[in-house]
Amino acid sequence: MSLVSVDRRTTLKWFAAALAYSAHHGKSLAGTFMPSPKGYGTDPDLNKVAPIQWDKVMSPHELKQTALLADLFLPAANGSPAASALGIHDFVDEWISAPYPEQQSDRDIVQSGLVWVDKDSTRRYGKDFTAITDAQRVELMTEMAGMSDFLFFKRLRNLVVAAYFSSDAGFKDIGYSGNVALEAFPAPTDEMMAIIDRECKALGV
Amino acid sequence: MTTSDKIYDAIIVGSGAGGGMAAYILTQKKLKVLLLEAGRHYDPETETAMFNTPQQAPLRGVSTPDKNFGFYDATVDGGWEVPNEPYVSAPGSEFKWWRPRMLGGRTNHWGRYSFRYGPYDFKPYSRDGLGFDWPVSYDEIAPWYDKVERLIGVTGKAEGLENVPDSPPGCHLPPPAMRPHEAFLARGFKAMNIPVASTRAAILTQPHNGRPACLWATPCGRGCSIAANFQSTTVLLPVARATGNLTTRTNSLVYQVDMGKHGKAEGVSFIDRVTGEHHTAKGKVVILSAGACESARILLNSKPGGLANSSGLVGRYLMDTVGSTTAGYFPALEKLPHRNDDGMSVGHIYVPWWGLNKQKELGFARGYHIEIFGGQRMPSMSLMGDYADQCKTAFGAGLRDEMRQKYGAICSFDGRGEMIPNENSYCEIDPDTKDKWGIPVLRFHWKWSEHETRQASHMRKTFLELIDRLGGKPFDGLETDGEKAISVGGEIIHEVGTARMGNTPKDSVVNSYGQSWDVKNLFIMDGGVMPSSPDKNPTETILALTWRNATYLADQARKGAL
Repeated sequence: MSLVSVDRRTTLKWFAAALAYSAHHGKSLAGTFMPSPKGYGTDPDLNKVAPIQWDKVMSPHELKQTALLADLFLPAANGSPAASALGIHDFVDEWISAPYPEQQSDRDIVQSGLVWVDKDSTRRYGKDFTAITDAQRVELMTEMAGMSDFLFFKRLRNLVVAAYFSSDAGFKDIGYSGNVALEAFPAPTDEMMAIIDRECKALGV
Repeated sequence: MTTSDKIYDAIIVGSGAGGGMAAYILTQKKLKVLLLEAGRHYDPETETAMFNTPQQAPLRGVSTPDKNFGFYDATVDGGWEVPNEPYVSAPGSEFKWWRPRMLGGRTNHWGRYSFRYGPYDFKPYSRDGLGFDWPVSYDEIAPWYDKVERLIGVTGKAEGLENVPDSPPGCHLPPPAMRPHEAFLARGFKAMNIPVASTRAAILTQPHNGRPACLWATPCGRGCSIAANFQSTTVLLPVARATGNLTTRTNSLVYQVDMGKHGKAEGVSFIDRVTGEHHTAKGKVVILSAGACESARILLNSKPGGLANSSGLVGRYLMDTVGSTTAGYFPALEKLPHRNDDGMSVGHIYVPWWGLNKQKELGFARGYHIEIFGGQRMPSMSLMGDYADQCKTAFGAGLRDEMRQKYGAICSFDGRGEMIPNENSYCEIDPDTKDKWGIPVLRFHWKWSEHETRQASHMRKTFLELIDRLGGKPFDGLETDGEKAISVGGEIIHEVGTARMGNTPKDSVVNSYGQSWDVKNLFIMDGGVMPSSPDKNPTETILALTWRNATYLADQARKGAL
């Protein structure tokens, strides 16, 4: 699960589906590259990143819903910005609009989930999700969190939280202090070693 | 078809670890060298996005079918698939083949763990009756490892461990200090009587041969614009170029070795990947360093039945490293204060194989090492997604607090093990499929034996025991059935063995210098020549063998013996 091993597993998942199909049909599996329309290609400029080429799919209403949901996951608190203040809803739009398989699978999950949210809101409160009160939204979130097989909630939570903390502002918020050049790499402080020693002793190692 | 009249002293196919080193040696020995690279020109100094953050990349830089190891990964025009250049897995087999199309090849993005093989690794058959011995011993290769380490810069310290050779004084650079989570994990390993060692990595911990030290930030997989780690493009090719003896031609996809009179190679044929035109080039010597599988493909496509293939072994006994990974979350690590854990991309410690003397009772013949990842590293979508999944709070301010509390408490373990060569794992020419230019492509056959699947199972059980002892909770890689726990063939990107070296023309493709038995001015200088695939990552050994073999080649050329 080094950075590379995470990526290894992600990409191999795409192959698994294709392989199962080929094996079932007694065919050889060809590793044939299919270009993703409007993807950024296999040799993008890494230093001058071009604007994304794919069209965003979310409607203004979906964006509004997503911003509200994102802020319920990560509201503003003690000087930390709310998710929508970091544009996380726009990022979710960028994500589900992308022409790649993982993102396209998320598109179905997110957009059908947003439809469900409005339906449930209307059933309970007679108004769509954007028109109900904050307290009603929290009630609805609590309901969704309790629905163990509701993929939408789990997936959107994961996307929002991951996008928030992998942003530049999120780095600061979670306490990441790296990505800076150092003269030397410091050994753990005595304080850290004392904590490790105490914890290990408590665990019997 | 365009033919140049110029006859080079040597033509090298491929510019990665093997081709880069061959060019480095031969040009300094005053041979006029033509280096043919299938991919485009690549300049790490200007192209590496060193400090760029996920926010600056599309989709926060996650891996996609366009960039398989993420947006910022150095790999150009490739990955598990290369546009226009398919390959095929035979029914029932699964094999993945990672290829870039760029100057310097895979050395631009490689992991940078850099190990010498040990004495047992060169004589595996003699030790346990499985696989094949090398025609050379550790003692014969050791001086070449010394040279490589002194040139490229490799960290390490004398550990005194069996089959993990210590380098002579002056070879290794000082290893980095342990990170806090590594000190914690080391305690757990110690409780299991498993020794840990300082990392061995081709990353500079002090200025070295005019290159600056690592600045303890930015992932090595992006490449390094300041040349603080080893890449062919920053360490080998600039020296070769400066001799004035190197001609480099990029976008040149070699598909055939051309034969001349008296059973000797006279050059190669290649396609310009941009124009689609066919070309030939002439050389007194041809060196294939295209990577184990691509070099085999060139030989098999050069004539019916394969060139340099009187042994029938070209493409056979293909190996990869055994891989298996488990990740866990450790509440004890929540107690540590904030710190910058970037350091090197690799772990600052690793676990060499500790079970040499109990292979029989373990039920698998060869060992593995463990690579460690963890700490408060640069947040990415995948890493933060894992943390989010560990948080119990469903939403609200408490979720933020929990993320902050847990950040730095996830660690993961990658087992990397030796595979024993077997008859069911090989590549050959597919009778039907051709690439964009009509050149037949490879078909892979793959099967792990029980030696590997049991090893993968042992990896997982070891990781789970460690996590348990340290009060952690495993959340990924829990399956201990070896068949399910093991990586896909090729996934670890250590393909070797397709043109193995040996003592006789009957049982090997090349002699101990990588020289074809059948065509004496044809050499293989890549992982293809390896008769076995120790758990230790192959790059340093490819470099050492190539230094030795290119030196032999230059000597033979001077004597007129080729």
